[in-house]
Amino acid sequence: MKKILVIDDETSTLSMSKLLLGVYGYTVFTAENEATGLEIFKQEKPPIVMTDIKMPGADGFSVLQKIKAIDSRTEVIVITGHGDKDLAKRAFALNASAFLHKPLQIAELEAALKDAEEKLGLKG
Amino acid sequence: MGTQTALHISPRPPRKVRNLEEENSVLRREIRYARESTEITAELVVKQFIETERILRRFQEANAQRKAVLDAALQVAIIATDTTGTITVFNKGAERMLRYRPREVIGTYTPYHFHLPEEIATRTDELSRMLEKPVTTDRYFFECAGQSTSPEMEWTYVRKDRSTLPVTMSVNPLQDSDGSVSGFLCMATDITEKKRSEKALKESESNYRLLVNSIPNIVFKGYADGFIEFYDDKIEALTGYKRSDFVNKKINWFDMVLEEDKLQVKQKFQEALQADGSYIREYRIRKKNGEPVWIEAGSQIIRNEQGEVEFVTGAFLDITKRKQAEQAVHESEEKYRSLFDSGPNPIFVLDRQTMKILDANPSAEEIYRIPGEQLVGKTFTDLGSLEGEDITLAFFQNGNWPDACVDSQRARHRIKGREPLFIKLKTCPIRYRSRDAVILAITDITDNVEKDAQLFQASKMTTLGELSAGIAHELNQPLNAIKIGNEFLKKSIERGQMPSDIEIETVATEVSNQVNRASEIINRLREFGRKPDFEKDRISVNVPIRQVLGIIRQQLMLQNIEVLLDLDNDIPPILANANRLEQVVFNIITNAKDAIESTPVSSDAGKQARRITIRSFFTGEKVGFSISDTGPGIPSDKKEKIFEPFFTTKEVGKGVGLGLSIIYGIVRDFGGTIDVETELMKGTTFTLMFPPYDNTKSDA
Repeated sequence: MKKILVIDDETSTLSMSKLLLGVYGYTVFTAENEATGLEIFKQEKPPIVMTDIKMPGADGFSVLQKIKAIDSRTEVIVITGHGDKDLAKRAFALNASAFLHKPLQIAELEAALKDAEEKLGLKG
Repeated sequence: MGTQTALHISPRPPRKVRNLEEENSVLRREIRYARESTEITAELVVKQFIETERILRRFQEANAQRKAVLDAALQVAIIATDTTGTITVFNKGAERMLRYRPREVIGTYTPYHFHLPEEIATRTDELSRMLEKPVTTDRYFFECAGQSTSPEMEWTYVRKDRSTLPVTMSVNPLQDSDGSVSGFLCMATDITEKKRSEKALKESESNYRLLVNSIPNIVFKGYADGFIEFYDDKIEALTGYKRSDFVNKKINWFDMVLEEDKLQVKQKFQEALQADGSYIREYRIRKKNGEPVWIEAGSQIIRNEQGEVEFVTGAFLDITKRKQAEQAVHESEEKYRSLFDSGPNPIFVLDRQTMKILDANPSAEEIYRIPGEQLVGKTFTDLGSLEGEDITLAFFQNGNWPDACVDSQRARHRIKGREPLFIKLKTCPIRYRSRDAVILAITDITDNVEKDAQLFQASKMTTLGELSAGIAHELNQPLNAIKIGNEFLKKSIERGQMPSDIEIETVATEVSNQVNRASEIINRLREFGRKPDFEKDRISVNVPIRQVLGIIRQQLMLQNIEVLLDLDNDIPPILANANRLEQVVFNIITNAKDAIESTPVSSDAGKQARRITIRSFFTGEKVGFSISDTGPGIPSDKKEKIFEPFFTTKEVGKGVGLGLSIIYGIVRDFGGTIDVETELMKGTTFTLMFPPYDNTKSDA
């Protein structure tokens, strides 16, 4: 079973994401904030992380940076409710594998996951 | 005057008697002499009496006022003397007047006895001067009697008890048949009464004169022919004519009356003739120099016993100045009347006691859409109920109008069947047609209120636009959760994996919650975007704070601004309009956000904290809340200006500078105060305080 970590301050998003990603066959870990997220990441070493940016306490990008610092092979999919092209640019500059907007479009999600899987496959 | 001899005739018989016949004839002659002398004496007495009578008559004729006195013979003292001056006659009148018995004085005293030596001395001096020869005091009466005309003079008589009395006395000679003076006759009348009445008359006259002179009125006596006389010279100053011109009938009073006033003057007189004869007229006369003078004359028609008009008496006063003042007042009133009538603002004059409208101007009729005649007599609150927190509103209820002008805040006048009028009231106490009244000047600020509201609305919408990113983010959260939930169900079915009951329930519950959350956000926005009215409710200041944060918090978070909320949930409510108070909170938080945003991130303040702290509290007297930011602070020279309209510290294009000035107005409307504390590079705190709403007060 592939592991995936979802970090979002929205518990509703976390619970729904867990159900949805479960359908795709993932073992889903969720975290409400950066600290918990990093802890789970270190423990479970999920190859794919989905993180919301703009959370209280820390910049979403800092999670991206820290995860990349721990394991640069991790595919980090950045999600935001804030449609901003600058944010997307910054995310890609920090090696995010995808940049998704809330509310999620299933096709985009599937593409991002597929893309990440492929990259992981290549890497692996 | 016939022959006169001394009153005492003593026959002197011859001593040589030679024969009887001779003796007899001597005797007979003596008897005849004696008889003759008796006859003569009797005749003299009669003559004297006649003379006395004559003198009395002369007195009577001379002074009618003394008639009564002289009628009583006892009132006249008659004293006669012989050639030496020794008293020979002392009548009852003299006895009564001087209180001596005749036998005490006859043959003993001279009339000098009854006089003051100093008075005799003075009179003697006068006589000496008149006669241009020396006269001694003891010869005074002889000299006096010797004068062809014996003047009646006033003397002081000294009584036996040394008391004195005033008399008029004439001194006449008593002449022998040969014409030689054999004595003199003093006739004196007691003039004590006359003196007293003269003195009284004099006093009364001088009082009267004083009165006539000192009163400003000119006292007159007028006659049917239009001529008039005056008691003093005041008329000269008034008219420029001599008093004598009137007395001598050179000037007819009626001719002086201005032509246009003559009819009225005549009419008044005619009316008075029909009535009780008293009348007051105001009319103009032409002065000698041509100037008109207004006079007010109070007169009384005096009729004689036959009922005919004898004369008119009264007094008049120069009222020109008063008339001029009246004219000035009239003109001034007209001037103010025209201001009153043409003023664009409604003005009411209310009776201070009854509150009833006494007068209203055309603007009042126009704005209240009620004709003036229907306004008068109504009370101001009859027009519609007054609402607001304004101090003047209390006056309408308790009637305690202050003695100074009072400017009011905004009040709402709710008129039946119409949109409420927003008004400002100014009340001033005045005297109106000799009544205590209140001027109620109204400014219809409905348009201003409308514009305020529009302006505010515009500023809100601008802010909402600025917040759209935050709001979008806020809305995207529940939408995202719903979407993911829904995609899960769809995907599960697509893949033929039926979701479990628990999974379906989880999704259904979450979707429902998220829809609620989204509609809450929408409701808040709609609430916030609503155009404010001015109704006040009992609200907690925490409510608008939370409401605003619900909208703005996400935006603040997006901008990395932390919000520290420290609300006291036990604070009493205040009386305010929730929506408007939200604008206040919103505006201050937006300012705080902008201030923090303007802090360079590189600066210490920027690194240390990007925080807005909101507190609510109750001091025991006031309910308040404060909003602090960690921005750069406001320079002291600008601190005073921040509540001024169109003042802004923001960059050009970022703000129009109306926010705080509007806020200031709103806070004041709710009886609140707003205070700013600021420190450069540390931040700014706005503290707002409101009176708590007291439930126990029976207030609207």
